[in-house]
Amino acid sequence: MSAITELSQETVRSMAVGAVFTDYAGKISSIDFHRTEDLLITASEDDSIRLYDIANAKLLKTTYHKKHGADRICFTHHPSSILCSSRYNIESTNESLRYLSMYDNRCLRYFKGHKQRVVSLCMSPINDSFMSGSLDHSVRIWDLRVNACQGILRLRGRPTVAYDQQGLVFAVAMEGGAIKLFDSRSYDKGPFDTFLVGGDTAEVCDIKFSNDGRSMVLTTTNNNIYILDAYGGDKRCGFSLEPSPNLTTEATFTPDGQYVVAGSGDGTLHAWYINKPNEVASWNSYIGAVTCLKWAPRRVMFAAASTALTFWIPKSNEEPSNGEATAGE
Amino acid sequence: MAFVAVESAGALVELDIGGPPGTLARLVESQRELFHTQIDQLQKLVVAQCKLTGVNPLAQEMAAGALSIRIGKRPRDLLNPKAVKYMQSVFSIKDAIGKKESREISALCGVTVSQVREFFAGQRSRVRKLVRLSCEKVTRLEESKTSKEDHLVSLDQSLPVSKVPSGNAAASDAFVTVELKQVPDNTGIFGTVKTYQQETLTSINLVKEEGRPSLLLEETIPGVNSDDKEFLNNIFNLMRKEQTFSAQVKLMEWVLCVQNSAVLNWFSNNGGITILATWLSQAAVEEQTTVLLVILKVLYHLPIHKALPVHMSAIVPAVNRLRFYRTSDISNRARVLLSRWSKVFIKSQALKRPFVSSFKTTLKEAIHKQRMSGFLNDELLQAKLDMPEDILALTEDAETTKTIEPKQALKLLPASGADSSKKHDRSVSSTKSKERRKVLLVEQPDHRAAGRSVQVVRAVSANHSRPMSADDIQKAKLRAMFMQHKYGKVDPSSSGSKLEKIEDPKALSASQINNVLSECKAPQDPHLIKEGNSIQIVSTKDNLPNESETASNSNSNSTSKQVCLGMLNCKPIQWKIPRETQISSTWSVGAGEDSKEFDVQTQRNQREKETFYSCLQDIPLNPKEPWDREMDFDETLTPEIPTEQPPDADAEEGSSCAPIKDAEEAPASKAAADITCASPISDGPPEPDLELLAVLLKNPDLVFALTSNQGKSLTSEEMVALLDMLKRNGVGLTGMLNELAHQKENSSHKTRSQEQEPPTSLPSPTPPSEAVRSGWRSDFGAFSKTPVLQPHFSGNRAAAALTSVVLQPPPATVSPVVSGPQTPGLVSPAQAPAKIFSVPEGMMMNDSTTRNLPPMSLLPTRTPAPSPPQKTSIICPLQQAKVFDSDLPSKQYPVTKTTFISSIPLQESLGHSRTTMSCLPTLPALPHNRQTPQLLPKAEVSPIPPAWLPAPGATKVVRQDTTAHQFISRPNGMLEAAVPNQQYVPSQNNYSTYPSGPVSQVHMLPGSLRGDRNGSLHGDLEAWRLDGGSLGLTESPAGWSYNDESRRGGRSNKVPEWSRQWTTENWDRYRSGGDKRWQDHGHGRQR
Repeated sequence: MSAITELSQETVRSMAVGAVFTDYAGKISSIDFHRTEDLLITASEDDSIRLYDIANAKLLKTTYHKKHGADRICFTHHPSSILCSSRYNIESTNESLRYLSMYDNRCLRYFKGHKQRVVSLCMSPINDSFMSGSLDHSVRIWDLRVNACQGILRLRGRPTVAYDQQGLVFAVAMEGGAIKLFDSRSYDKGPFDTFLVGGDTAEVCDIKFSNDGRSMVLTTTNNNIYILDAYGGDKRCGFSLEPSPNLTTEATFTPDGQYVVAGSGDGTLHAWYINKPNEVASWNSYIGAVTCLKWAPRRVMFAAASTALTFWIPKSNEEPSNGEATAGE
Repeated sequence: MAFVAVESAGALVELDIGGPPGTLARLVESQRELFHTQIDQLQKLVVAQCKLTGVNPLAQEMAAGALSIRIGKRPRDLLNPKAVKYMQSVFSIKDAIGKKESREISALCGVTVSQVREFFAGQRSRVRKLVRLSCEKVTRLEESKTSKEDHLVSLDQSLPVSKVPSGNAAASDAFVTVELKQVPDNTGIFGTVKTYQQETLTSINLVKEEGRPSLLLEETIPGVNSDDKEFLNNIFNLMRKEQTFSAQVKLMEWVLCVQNSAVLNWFSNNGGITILATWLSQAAVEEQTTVLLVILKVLYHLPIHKALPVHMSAIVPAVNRLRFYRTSDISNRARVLLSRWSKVFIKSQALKRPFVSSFKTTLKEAIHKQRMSGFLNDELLQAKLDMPEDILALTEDAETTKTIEPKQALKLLPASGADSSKKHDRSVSSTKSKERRKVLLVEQPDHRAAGRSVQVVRAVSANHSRPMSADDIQKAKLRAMFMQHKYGKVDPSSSGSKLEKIEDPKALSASQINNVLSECKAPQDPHLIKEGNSIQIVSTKDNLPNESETASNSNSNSTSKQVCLGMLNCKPIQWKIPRETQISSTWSVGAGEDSKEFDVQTQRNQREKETFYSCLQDIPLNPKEPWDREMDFDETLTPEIPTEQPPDADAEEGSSCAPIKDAEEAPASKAAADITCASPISDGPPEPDLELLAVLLKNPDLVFALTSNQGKSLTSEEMVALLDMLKRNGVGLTGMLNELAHQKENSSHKTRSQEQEPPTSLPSPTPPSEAVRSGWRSDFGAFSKTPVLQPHFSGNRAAAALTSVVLQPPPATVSPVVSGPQTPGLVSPAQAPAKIFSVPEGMMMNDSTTRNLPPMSLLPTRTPAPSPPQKTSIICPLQQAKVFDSDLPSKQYPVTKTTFISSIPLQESLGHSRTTMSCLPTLPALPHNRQTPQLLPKAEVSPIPPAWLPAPGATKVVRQDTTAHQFISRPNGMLEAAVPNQQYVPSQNNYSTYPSGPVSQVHMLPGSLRGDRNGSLHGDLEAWRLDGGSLGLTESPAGWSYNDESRRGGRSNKVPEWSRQWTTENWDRYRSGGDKRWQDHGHGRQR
């Protein structure tokens, strides 16, 4: 089958809802794609964690987590193992992070340490480390294999963490729109670079690196979107969207790193071409203000979620080629 | 209220609006004339009455009767001036009065209670109006500057009628001045007349305000727009800035003052409504009732039907929410507002076209708008002036008054004029409306296109003529979903909005037309029909009101609840597997290449059975727990990552651990030391281990150390471990021993010339000892693991003593080897002790880890001395002493104790704390010196060194143990004490030719030292002194036995006991018979 390396503007523009999942009883708090497999995991405020096959737009599994709840969620490298942060009972159990297996619906390990809700969770793209940023103003670095915390970073404000796609660097956002870059192998030396975006009141709630490692996209709580040069920290472009009160939203790169898609508080989605910043497309999300928006790492497809989950795929003018693609698989 | 004025105003309205059609004008003209004559008559009458009688109840009655027909029940202008004056004075104080007060007033002034009440009510409303007008004045002044048609009306107020025709040209300033005058002037009938005039004027003013745009479009609009926009620009700036509710209220009052519809229109279209919407929601959240009221007022005030759909969509939901506000007043207002909007909107929509058509090209679009606003204002006027309408149409009076909220009437808020007008309409031209219904139905499509939100919402509420309830919404949603599934989303909504509009126009536009614009209908209808024909979208469904209603409802909801309906709107495209994207390999995007956990989980999954749940109910509420709960990690070990850029991340990790290790090692090493002491006895020497032998040969001192500890039994494993260690560290040991030798020399020098060399010279050994310590430490660390425990010692001790006796021979065998080097030292007894001293000193200087060494080093010194034969001989008694601690030897000890030792240690101990170290070595030297003389005379002495050494060796082993224990329990300083202790022992043993007593004394020495070192022990010392004093010699044995017990019991106890024993004894000795010794000692020193 033909795998495409670059998305054309037409393709991006033609994205449309291809599947809707409305059986959630609450807001979807986070979603994550597996890095290689065609899998998507979602965590919802109805305490469910659901696993989807994104190639076929099928719900594969559902599990409930009434005791801990499900807030932030993240795939590990294994397609059935996930990390999930807790929503309830954090103070009593201290079990703010859980390592779960969807395979046999078992909790594999608790990672204790955070005293409050985890608001940012990400897995190293290469090894077993992962990071979590919590409202207790700390970022912790963990290893899947041991329940002991590998390192703690205390900071001010709401922390947001992200690894770059190569696993060489990770970024931690803290108060005042400060983004600190760490070498993921020698993070104990402290950050090697600091970027500032958005002024003193900026609260970055989402960071993503592009696959090519050249750019990073930052989303603030008041829904300003900044695209930075990941090396120099220069602001390449910024977009301002309608904020959605009490919700954090997301922006995402396309796999080729050329477009950024973001959700607005007014229930629309927007796509920009970042090399020559211009808006390529804007859609009605059909599901209101989206809380989660991620582009599949290896598909021409993105998922947007609010209280429902939608899969967006290109409307195929090129019916045959898509058909081939499916046949190829 | 001045109802005449209202009437005239009504007439005026007709006049204004009916301008174009001649019939209307005529009608109005005639009405006006009628009014004028009536007013004239009334005035004359009243004036005449006033002139004649002043206060004439009958005249009042008559006037009331005459006026009441027209004016209603307000004969207050017929009150006598006195009463009016009085009531005004009261009113100036308080604007509302209770029943009692009103009764009092009525009694006082001769007016009825109802009159009083009404007077106050009227005054109140007038004051309100005044305030309002004064605000208006501001705006009007603005206007008057630019508008050229402003005619100042003369102050000839007595003929209001004359003004009515010229009502269009309102005198802005004049009104206010007149009004202001009126309050003071309110004397008698004139006053009342003036009041009445004033009210007339105000109404006229209103009429003018609203009528002007319609009549003088061309002239007024430009000026008004420029100035008022500027004016309102400020409002916007202020409004956007304003955060506090009070300031918001002020601003809104300002807006309320603006009467120019163009300005208001501009205001509403340029964001005013959105701001108001936000304020409204804020106020609703904060439950600021007053603010809500004002906002609603403003919304009433604004020509909302002209607002852009966007703005409407902002404001409508907010107001809609207020319908259920818990304060009934506000919820009522919100409801009325909504219904009014819906009606107004539809009416305006209905009227829009006809006027456009009638004026067609003669008027610009802006003018058209003005026209529309004019109509709106007319309607407002009608709403305000319900009463006149009632007068005109008396039959419906009751109905309208019921429907209209009293407060609104009071405040001159535009109540839903539609209500009244609708009724008129129904009564007048229901058939027409039916007729027009079709027409309008056809006419609507553009509305449908215009927007689903605003119009529909209004249309819906209009349809019900009550606000939507939650039920309605819910039902509508369901129906809408159904409809959409069935028909797709477009049609029902549009058709629904059509239908509703059809219904309302029937009421509203018709009413307008009936009341005011009867002529307009003619042009209107054909036009509509024409348009309708052109468009013609009438679906069969539209005839079903339910369906249309629901559809429209659903649409209105969709604006607020996008998600629900958005989902419905979303028609997913056919799912296809999305194409893959190729990620450039040069980017080296990670995919878990280094993940170990991946394999772990893969393997685990192979072991485990995958869990599937066949149905949702099967899914457990929580996942299975981990197989094993892991221990919580130690949070303190979590490394902290710096967040600041300068990398100063060198965590000092080892440092923290090291001390701990040391601490751990310390006790263990002590134990090991104990072992080492005992070790040689059991296994070491007998077993031929060449390597070991080599090491031992290299380190004769070490051998001494080992062999001297015969008293202890060790398991063979321990011994082996020890010896292995020794082998390994042979070099280190030699180094250490060299140091020791060096020290020996030093010390020997000192001993020989003690006086020459002050004690301070001694510290030299410390550095080497450091080296030694390091060498030993590691090995001891290893030893620490071997379970050498206290019980072992305590239990063994007695046995050790016994065994030591038995095992004496082996050391002897060893000794020849070792003795070679040392014998020279031994020859002069002084040297031997000197050596001994030196070693301990070095050790003493060191840390706790070095504690082990002192016994070691001490031991060798003893061991070399013994010559086999003597050993055995001497040992036996001593051992006995040992074995039977308390019995024989103990008794002997006390005796010997009396000798020098007691005195010496005491001084030392008392005098020095740390520094005793230096002194101590000297002390032993002294005894030796003494010894030699002593020994010689006593004949036995010749073999002395050997003789005493072995014996004490045995005894000492035990002692050493104790000392070792004491060391353990003590801080470093104790070492020093212990060391001298042992050193003394040999010397004492020498003396022990007498009794073996000195041994015990030796022990006492360290004890005393210890006591000194540990300040806490002094007390004990003292206590024992007393005891010792009383008990005398006999006491000591008891002390010894006690000691043994204490040893077994625990270390901590021993120390004090030791100190007690010998201190007491020492003291005793010192006092009693020890003087000689002491003196000798002193001699030695002095020498």
